[in-house]
Amino acid sequence: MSHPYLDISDAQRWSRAMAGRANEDIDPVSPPPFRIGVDSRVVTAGSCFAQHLARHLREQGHACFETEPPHPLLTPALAEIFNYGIYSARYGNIYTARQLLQLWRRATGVFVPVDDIWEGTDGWYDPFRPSIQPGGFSSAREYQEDRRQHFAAVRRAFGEMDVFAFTLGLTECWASREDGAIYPLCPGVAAGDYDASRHVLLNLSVDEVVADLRAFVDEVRQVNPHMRMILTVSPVPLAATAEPRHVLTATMYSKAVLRVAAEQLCRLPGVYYFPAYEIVSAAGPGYFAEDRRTVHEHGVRQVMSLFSRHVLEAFPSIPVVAAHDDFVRRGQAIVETWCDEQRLDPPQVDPGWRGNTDDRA
Amino acid sequence: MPGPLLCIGHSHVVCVARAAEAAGTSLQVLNFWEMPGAILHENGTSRLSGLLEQQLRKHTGPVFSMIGGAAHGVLGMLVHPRRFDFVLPAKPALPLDPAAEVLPALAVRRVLESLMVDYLAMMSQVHRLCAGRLFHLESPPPLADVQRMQTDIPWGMYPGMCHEISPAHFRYKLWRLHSQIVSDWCAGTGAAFLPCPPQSVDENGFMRESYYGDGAHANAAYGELVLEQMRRLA
Repeated sequence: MSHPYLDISDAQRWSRAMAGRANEDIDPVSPPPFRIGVDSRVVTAGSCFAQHLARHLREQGHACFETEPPHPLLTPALAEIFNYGIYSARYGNIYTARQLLQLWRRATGVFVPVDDIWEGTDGWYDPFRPSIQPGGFSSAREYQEDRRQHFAAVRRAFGEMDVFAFTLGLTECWASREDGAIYPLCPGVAAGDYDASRHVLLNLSVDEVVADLRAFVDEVRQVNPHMRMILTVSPVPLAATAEPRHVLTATMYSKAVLRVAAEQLCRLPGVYYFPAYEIVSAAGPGYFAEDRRTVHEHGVRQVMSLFSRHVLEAFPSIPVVAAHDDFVRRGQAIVETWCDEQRLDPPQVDPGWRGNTDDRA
Repeated sequence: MPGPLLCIGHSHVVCVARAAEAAGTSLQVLNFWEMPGAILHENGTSRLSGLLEQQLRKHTGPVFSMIGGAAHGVLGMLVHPRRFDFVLPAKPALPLDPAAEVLPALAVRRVLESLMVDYLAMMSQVHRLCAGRLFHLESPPPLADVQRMQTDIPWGMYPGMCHEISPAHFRYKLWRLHSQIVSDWCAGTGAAFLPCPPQSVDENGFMRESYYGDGAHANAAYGELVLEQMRRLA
């Protein structure tokens, strides 16, 4: 007898690809149609799991294409507080395909949301990046100036990137009833005020996710025709659902929608699906913390190890480290020179200092 | 009869000392630049020497501090290779350098604060040691005239540095931010923050040229205005 299953590869059989295998030995990655070279300009975005990818690329000596990098005066810790260096530009987490499309359209002036700025008790907030600046912006003008240069950074990142790695995170999102503008977080959670008459919950369908990402790819490729995209689905469950059902059911629905959407989208030329979701999920509780939500570092490492093996071209692993700034040291030298020069012409008043010996020294 | 005025600090005390010398005012000056061994560095922190501590404990009148006062110049006297600017929270309408990237004011403040840590710690020690009230004198305002300042910088000593003085409004904003940090410190500790003499600034808040000393300091005429402030408070 002959049938199609006789000649399938080991990877196609559960008994050989999965059964009895250690988590680290499970490799569900399909060969990518392209690889990321050392000179490739890679832009990362997506839900919080996407942050791991940017970090991993840096550790592998592969700098992300940063168009809004931290200023060298900022220490790494300070830069992180202000959300610099997390992604290619300072857009924060992008949880839904619609939020991504909206970012591109706002950056290019195609869409201008009615909800422009939120005034809080302690500062001004960007409705579409409510957590980007600790304490909010200090003035409306600071926000407007920051947004202006942020949009320029987004246009440059998306317009010049070679590879876009996007992690699909959620299907639930909150929108303005006025113009459909999508908020990354429900108003009132990090900033702003929730108003049921102005804000509405959306739970995007497969067709909507596909349409939004297709539109994004089409519109970006109008200015960047060679852009290729790697899609992943975040394995991190929902923290909470606004749908009236169990958070586990909501999570499974959301991941199923995103996984099917990704499958449809990778039929487009230059779009590839990397199975981060499957790698983590296959380990059962093995890669999750006790909260059943946080992915352990060794789980992240396994995902990134397979990403390196299959998607990155081999090159020396020299971690990318931000350059130190010696500007302040030099500025100090100039001011101290002035101070030194003052010593050449000291005033004659009571110097008030009787000695240079220290009784405790 | 009250004892001499006591002024302690770094290079900004010089203009006051010169004014006192010219006026014959009794002024005791503790200039850290002229006091080798007065500051001890241990385990990454600075503290005043025992000798200076004793001297400060004996003083019973008010103390006028001009400690530090140059961090804004260190950060922004010269144009950074990656040109930056910020929106001053208290005066958001002030001009921005069109060629600069705009950094969050809070981030700039944090950088400036990091340059002031030692000085604020020193002020805390002086405040703790002295029985009298501590007045901290605001640093002199910046001069708007870049050309005038240009001639004062010994550029030859710094090959490879950007030979451009920062735009006036940028330097003004850094000075205001610096003063805000010190003023906040004073408010939190019970010390008094003494703004620069109002006669010394023009309608835009910059130093009048007649009080200019060098790129980083005021002259004796400015010192006389400060001395008068001190006399009134003593």
